[in-house]
Amino acid sequence: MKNALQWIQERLFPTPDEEGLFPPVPNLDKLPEQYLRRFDLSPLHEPEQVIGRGGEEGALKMISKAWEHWKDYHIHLLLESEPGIGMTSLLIASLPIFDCPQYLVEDRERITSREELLPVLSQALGMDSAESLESLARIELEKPRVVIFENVERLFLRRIGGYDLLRDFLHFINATRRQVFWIVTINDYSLYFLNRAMNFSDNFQARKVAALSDELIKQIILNRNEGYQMTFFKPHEFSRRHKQRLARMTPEDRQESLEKQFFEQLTQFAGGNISRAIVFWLSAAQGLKEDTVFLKAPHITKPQEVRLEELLALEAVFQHTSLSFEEVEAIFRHSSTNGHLLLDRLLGHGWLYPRCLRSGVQEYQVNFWYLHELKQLLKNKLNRNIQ
Amino acid sequence: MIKRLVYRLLAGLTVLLAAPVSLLAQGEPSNNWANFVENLKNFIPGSMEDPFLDKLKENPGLLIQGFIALPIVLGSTYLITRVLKWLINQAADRSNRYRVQWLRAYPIIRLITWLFAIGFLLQLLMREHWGILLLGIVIVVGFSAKDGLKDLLGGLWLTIERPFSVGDRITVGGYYGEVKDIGLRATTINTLDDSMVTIPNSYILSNSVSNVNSGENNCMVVTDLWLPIAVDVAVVRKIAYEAVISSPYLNLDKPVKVLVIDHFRERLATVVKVKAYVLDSQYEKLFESDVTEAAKQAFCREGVYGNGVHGVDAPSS
Repeated sequence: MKNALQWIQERLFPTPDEEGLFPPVPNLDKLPEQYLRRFDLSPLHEPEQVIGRGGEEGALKMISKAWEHWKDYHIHLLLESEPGIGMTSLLIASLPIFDCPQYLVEDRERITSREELLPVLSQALGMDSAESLESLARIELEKPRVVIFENVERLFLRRIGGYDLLRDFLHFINATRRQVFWIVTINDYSLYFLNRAMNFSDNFQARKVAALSDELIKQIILNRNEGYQMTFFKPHEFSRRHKQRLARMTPEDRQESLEKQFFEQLTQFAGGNISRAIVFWLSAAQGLKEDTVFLKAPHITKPQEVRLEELLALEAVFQHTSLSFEEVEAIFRHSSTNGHLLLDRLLGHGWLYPRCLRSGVQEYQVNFWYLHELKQLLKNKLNRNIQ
Repeated sequence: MIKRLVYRLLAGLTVLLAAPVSLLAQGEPSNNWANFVENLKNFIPGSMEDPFLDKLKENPGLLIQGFIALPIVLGSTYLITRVLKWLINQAADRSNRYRVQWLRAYPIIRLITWLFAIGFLLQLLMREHWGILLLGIVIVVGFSAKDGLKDLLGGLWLTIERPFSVGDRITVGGYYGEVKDIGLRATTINTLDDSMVTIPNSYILSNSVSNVNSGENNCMVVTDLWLPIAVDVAVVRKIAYEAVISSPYLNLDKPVKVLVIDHFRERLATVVKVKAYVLDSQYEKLFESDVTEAAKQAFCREGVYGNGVHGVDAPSS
């Protein structure tokens, strides 16, 4: 019956030939290093490069208001966001707001003890060295200072005794509240945990950095691609009706329609997260020919099923933004072999990807590609009450 | 009206019990049947004017129709309930968050399905005056299995009143476990050592039942940590609290309480009671074990046990 209907449909409305609809696949050059650098996931270093965060309701205005509030009440600022949303770039863009010395403590190392924390904080306050956190907290600064401490979740480890350093840090910033405006950033899932474990955000003016709009995501991607033309190949999912509609268009209109469809897929996948949008773009870019980049929207596959043990390990990694093998073993009190095998499996299935710290330690963090799928799993399987 | 119903019931019962004998008797089957029904009319007082028996006399095929309709409708209903159960299990597996709610819905859906089926059957049989046969069957089955009837009523009561639901963790008759099924005759629970225990519904009705999660997918777990009497309370409290908040099985949206109690029986001991909610009641024992293991390791590291556990009293229960 179905075949007969298809036969009649094919006679009445024949499917157009695909060859004429899409550009032939040329011999493409690999994406050059120079092009890939444009889509690097590392933060932007120039405030003027950051777009879409201004305006009355923008994140920059929010930081500016918090700064004014601190001048009267000396309450620090806590900025929470999903990883990959462009927090560091936003903080760099916010630096011109402050009319005093500033310091950014970037997330390059996990800090596990007071001995490791002390030089970091001394440097942040412009001191050469200090004997202890207590003595450092008593110093008198000539001028107020702004210190941005990125990813504060690197100060704790979810185990017995693993919260002491974070408490010490809170004591320290409270002790220096009159002289230093502390801006602390945190992954939203870490905050969900720390708020329940130790009412973390009660110590701050807590603000959530909103996801980027679809329009803005598109604009950022197009800005990074500036100077290159785009040509779109046949997408993976393609209905017969869509093909017929394209057949009635001129080649230019056809490319325009494909571009619209491509960016709809990209923004839907990104869900307001610029890192996910960049990963999507890089998966879509097939290669270059002169100054034209050839694009084909990637097929979005479902992630590999995870067992309870694996999901709990993924949750731990997500709670700390990134973890090493040893830290996962410490959290779950696994034997060394089991911890390695577990993370290797998750790495193999694409849930995690490695990240090398400045000290050479290898850590693992959740793959941006599956970030939203992981959140959904945590909600459905572990009943976590997250947005 | 009631008198008429009683006559029909008696007639139905007699027909049900004697019809096969009559049909298999020697001689012309139609004559046998006609004679049998005539005798029946004489035997049951007041049934002479009942048109049903006349209709039955003319058409013995009605009896066969009734016998065919019954198993078809009952069998189909049984199959439908199995398919519904499978669908609900699939939905529960897909969304653990709403697992208990899905599982709770099944007994009600099953009851409604059976009510529809019985209603349909009654309507079908009453049209042909076969309701009396059905009532006869119910009474025969009911009287032959009095306890079964009690269980059946118990099953209906459990489905409507819902003192517990599928997915709840209950204690009944000394058994503790997750309710897997509330049947019309018995309730099945899966104990912590993975045994399936079937408890008749009449037994549940006449005994007390303790339910720890009452329809929620999480439940409170109390972990007792037994320590020597002379412990630094601040240290053990911190360890106990961090052991529970660090557990991956903790329900983060519910409160955590750590209580320290002195125990005076035979020997002295300090009992640290950790009260927290597990993220899903099926991980109850994993949670308890995880908290105990983490806390014990930390107590050993901190030297809380002193010379070992010799000075600690064991719980009496």
